[in-house]
Amino acid sequence: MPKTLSTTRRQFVGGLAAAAALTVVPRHVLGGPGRLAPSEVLTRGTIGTGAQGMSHVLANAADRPAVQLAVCDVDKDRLARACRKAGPGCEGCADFRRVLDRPDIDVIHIAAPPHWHALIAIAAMQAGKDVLCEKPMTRFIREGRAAADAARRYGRIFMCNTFGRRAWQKLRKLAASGLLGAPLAVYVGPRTGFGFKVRTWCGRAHLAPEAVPPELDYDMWLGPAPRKPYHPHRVHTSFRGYWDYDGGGLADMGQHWLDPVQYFLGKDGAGPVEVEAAAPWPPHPDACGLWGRITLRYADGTAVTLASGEWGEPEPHNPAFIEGPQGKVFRDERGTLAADPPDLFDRLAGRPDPPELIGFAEAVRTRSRAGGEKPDAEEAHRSVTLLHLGNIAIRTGRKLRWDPAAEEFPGDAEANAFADVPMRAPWHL
Amino acid sequence: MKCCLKTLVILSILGTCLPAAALGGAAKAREAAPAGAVPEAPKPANLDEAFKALATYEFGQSREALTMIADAVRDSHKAPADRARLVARLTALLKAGASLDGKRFICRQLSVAGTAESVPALAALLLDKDLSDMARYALERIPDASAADAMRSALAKATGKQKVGMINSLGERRDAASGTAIAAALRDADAMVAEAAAAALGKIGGPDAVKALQAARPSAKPEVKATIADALMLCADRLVAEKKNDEASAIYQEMYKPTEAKHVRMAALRGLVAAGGEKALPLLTEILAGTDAEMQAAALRFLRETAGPGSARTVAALLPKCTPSAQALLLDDLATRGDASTLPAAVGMLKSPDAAVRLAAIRAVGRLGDASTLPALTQLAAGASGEEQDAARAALDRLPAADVNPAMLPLAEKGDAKVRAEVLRSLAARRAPGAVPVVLKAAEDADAAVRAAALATLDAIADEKAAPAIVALITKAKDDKDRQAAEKALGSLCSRAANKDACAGPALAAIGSAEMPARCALIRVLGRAGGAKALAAVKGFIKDPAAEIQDAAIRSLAAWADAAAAPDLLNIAKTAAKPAHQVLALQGYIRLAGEPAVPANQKLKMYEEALAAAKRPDEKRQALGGLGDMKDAKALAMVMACVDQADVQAEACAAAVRISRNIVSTAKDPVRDAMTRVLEVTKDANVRKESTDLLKQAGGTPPAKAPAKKVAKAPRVSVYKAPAKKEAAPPPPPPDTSKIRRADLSAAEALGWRLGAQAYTFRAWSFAETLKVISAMGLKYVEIYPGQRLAPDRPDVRTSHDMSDADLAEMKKLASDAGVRIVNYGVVGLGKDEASARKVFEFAKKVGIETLVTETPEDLFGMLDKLTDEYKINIALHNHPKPSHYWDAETVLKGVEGHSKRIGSCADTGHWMRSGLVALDCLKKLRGRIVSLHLKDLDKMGPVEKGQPGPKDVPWGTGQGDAKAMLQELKRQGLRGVFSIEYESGSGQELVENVNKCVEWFAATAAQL
Repeated sequence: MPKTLSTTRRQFVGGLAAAAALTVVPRHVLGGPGRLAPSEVLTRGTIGTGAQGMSHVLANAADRPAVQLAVCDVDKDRLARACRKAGPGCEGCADFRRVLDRPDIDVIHIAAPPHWHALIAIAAMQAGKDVLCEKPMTRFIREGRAAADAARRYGRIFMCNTFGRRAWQKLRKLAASGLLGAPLAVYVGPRTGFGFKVRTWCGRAHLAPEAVPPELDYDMWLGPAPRKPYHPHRVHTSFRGYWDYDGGGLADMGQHWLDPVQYFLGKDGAGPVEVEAAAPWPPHPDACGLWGRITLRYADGTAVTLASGEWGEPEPHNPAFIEGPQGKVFRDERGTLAADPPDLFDRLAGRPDPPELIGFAEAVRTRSRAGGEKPDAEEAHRSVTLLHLGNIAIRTGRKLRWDPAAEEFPGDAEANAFADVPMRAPWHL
Repeated sequence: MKCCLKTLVILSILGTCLPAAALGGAAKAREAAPAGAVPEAPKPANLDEAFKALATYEFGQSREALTMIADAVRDSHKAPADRARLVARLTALLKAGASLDGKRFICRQLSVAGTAESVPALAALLLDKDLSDMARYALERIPDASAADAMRSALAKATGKQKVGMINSLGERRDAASGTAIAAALRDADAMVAEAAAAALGKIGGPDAVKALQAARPSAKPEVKATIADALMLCADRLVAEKKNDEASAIYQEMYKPTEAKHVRMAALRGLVAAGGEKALPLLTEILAGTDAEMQAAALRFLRETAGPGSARTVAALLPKCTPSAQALLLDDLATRGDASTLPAAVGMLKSPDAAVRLAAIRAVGRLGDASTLPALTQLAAGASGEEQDAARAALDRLPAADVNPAMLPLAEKGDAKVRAEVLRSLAARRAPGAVPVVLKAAEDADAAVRAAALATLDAIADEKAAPAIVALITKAKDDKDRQAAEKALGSLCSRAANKDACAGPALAAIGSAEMPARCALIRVLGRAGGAKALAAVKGFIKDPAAEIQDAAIRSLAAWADAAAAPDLLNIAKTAAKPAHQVLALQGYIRLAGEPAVPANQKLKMYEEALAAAKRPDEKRQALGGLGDMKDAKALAMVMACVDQADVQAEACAAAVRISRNIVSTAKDPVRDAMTRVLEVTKDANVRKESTDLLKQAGGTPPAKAPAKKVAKAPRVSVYKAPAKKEAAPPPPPPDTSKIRRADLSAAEALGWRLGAQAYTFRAWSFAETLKVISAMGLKYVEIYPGQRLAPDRPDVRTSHDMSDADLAEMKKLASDAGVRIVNYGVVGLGKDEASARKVFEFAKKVGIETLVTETPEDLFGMLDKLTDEYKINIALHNHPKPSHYWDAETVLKGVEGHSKRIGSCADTGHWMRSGLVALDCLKKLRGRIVSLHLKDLDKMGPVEKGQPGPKDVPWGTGQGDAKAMLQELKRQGLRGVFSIEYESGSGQELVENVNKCVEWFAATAAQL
């Protein structure tokens, strides 16, 4: 094991503190007349360069200052590939703490597996970095609370890289108008245009241990997760199928679909009070499996139903995407969202539009944390919680009550055990 | 067969995720050993056997026994006696000595179910080299105090990572009894231990922890300091929650020192604001009056996060003391707070000398304002320009207070005409109920602008009661413009009204007495309302001797609101004397066939009639489009009958795919036949993909991929066709430059606007002649295109990147002799690969060209990023009208996103208009990505009705494009670049004269701006 790995992340963070006083946010990040657009000069370090991570690696131009200053991976082959793509001016690191240590890097892109997201994000924000983090934001609920608190405390910009919220502004306007009546019921499933890839990301049981390939630093790959023997299906991309690292298809696609739902329902910062799941019983303790339907209920009666269409009862024939007592929004024959009564959207004219949503680079420039096109730390934590609640309901096989203010299952130690998981030393929240 | 295999693979991947019950009949599949997995051992018969297997379990063996135990533990959730028995067995096995992997599994179970009884067995593993982490995994969560005691005593003996683990777990438990031991670890020589200790103390909190952290901080190793700061902040946050604000402030104050890192100071500032309340105001004022934009944004945010009653007024009080940039941020903050008592402060800022502050003030007033702000906002909406005007209008449209609408009415009735027009416009946006009588009156005003605004408002908000009045507006209109606007308003009303007869009635009654143009307008409007009475009347007018009436009646029917007009339309489509009327009627007929109210069998019949009657491919395509929405095998048959017609083949294939998608589950045979045929003829990749899928779904086998036919394609040089015919025609007489007026373009040059001409404008002449004309007008720039003759005496040489170097030199000399620079080249294809693109870039480099105008596809942009930077030559994407790829500015915008700033738009304003887009909006959208322009003004917007002449170029400023507004917008954007005149209509001296007018208008308008 390389020497650097025996230290914890904060040693590097601490080492930065002195330098950071001068350079946490380089002057150019704040823009100004005669300067390049911020998206062109935000220097970045990318942590995790697998299937998703490579899209966060830029190719440095030969005649301009490098933008991709560092890439990091615990797999030497992948690291070499990322270095090749980034080109000159980019440092390849085996330890993410080295990336956070560099004072000249403005933003950190996190595309490591989800069991690493929160730890890296928190360390990055404590080092004064802004963060663009892949979805799902976290592996379990308490990590998200800690990351959201860190973002707020240090005034850092954090966005979770979902498909975003821009496409849903019209629905937000509609939901806020009250024209549909209350309470609203939302249906997220293949029949309303949203799939979950549940079968794609099922884990496997009975895996025989294999030798760790020489290019992989497996101990660092595992990080805070309990130690388990190596098998190729448990790492790189297919890790999604194992509870120790991720949460199956629900966690893969869920935040794309559910973050906009929280947004258009105006429930950022809130959450449901009850969750119930229909899934094969008993669930596997180690590998993620199938599920059919998950229902989340909010205190005001709003209900969000997730349907996988991959197990259990068939989906209803033509479910409404959003339905209230006075109207609904559904997919018409062409697959576009239509309203019933048809003039619902017309009746919104003259009502105030929801505030414009800004992109990551713009948020970094203006230091504006809320109102991003993608969810900030608090919003993302609240939307990823929905997925975790669904998965915990699947794993406990019970209808669960959730207290969104205290962020716990009241009086249910067993469910709470899934919401806050001990970490392997030296890692801690 | 393939399908079965797929199922098997999925099932085997799932392994034991799925209980037999979930799989039903497929349960056997579990017995097949999945790739990479060990063969499954027989399932243990009962828990006893499972425990026996657990004792010797190693990773890689069957997990069946483990799964059985895990299930039993979980299922004992509500059976405490069962749970206790299981915990006892697990604990006993842990003590007795299971295999290593068996113990790991037991620790996981005890992490959820463990009790005090399990603690001794777990404690024994805390210093085990393999199992320390897993023992903590359980102990960290066992609520009994003995769990903490065990880890506390292990802490004394542990070192390295194990010690860190104990500290982490005790910290997680907020174990105050470990405070002293952990505080001692703060000074551990191992930085990893010290760092963990700091984090744990932060979680434990309390005065002792704070003291220990503060004491350790000055001498702490640099790598531990940040964690100590974080821990102290956590302690202070907790003190604020406990309302011990002074103690908390003392800690934050320590962290706010200028020597701390900025993000740490920011965190401390947040604490100071939260703990200090009013006391933090001087600090905030200091920051907001300073120059650190990042700190200002943070200060504002913290102010907002700690919002309490009265805090909005606090913000308002800060306003006059800050820098303009902070003022703008504060105003935005006030706007979101929505505290009406801060309105005067926002109104005060409307007169700020700083533009950004004024804008923010307008926005804030829009959110906070009431009727009292109407005079100020309406004045701004009428008097200001640009962003400020936009903001003022948006504010007017949104003013929330209930008293605003009634207060607006008197402002619409009298006063300054511009203000009245703005108020009327806003009444429409506000959908102000009860405003209609006032607006109706304004529609008869003496001022034309007021009338126009009122009529536009009626278009949006008029109700059925207003119908007679609007009919009167049509019959008594002062001019064509008013009448057209009134007709549009009544049409809109007819469309949206619930009671159609209430709208059609007054129109019907007035037709008899109305003068000619009004009469036609009323007849046309009837179609928008529909209904039996109106239909009878309009049918009567079809045979009217007056041609205008006939025309109006046919147009009315073509736009008819219900399907009742269908038979008449079909009749007209077949028999009308004018082809234009035939086309109009047939289009209306096909539209009606698509109405949801028409039953399916009638739809089929109508489409059949339409296809039979259609003489042009356009209407056939329209009918095929409608058929494509149907879910009927007969529709599929009808569409398939058109697949062999070359001019509509693509649409027929697309429609066949769409229908098949809907019926494939019920009508496999026809779908299979249809898709097989589609695959034989289609050239579209998407259609091919979809039809292959559908064919499979219908049980057919897609044909093996035929080897791609190599068709020797002529190299695509240009989207402009070389004027092959004109070659044969004798060249026109040389242009007469004696009457050309030279324009003074200095004002435009001062704006950074370089006016030139696209040589294509003068394509009938040679390049040499073109230069003569444009230099006489005062133009210093030219955009060349591939294919122009070089000179009258060199008809064989054409301007293009295939020129010889000698010809190229001659071209350059011709230009420089005329005082003209060749700046752009296009529209030119760049080929499919880097080699062919390089050829064009090399040519451009030799000539000194700045920008290549092209419609090259997006997939080449990666390569072009490189070339544009290498050659320092821009790429401007030209937008030929629909259906060309870049017709919509959105496509261009999406395409260039993330690419070099050298790749942008060649904004062809005329082609946007032809495509039915508002050119001004397109320019706004493309802000920042416009590289070059083909500025044009046309006499009308597209798309035109079939049979009508297409839009024509007209001298700038005289068409429908609002050319002046375009220039204003471009000035606002700060655009600097080449404007090429590309005038495509007319020829000879008329063309020269028109281009000359464009140049003069441009010079004059630039001077006004």
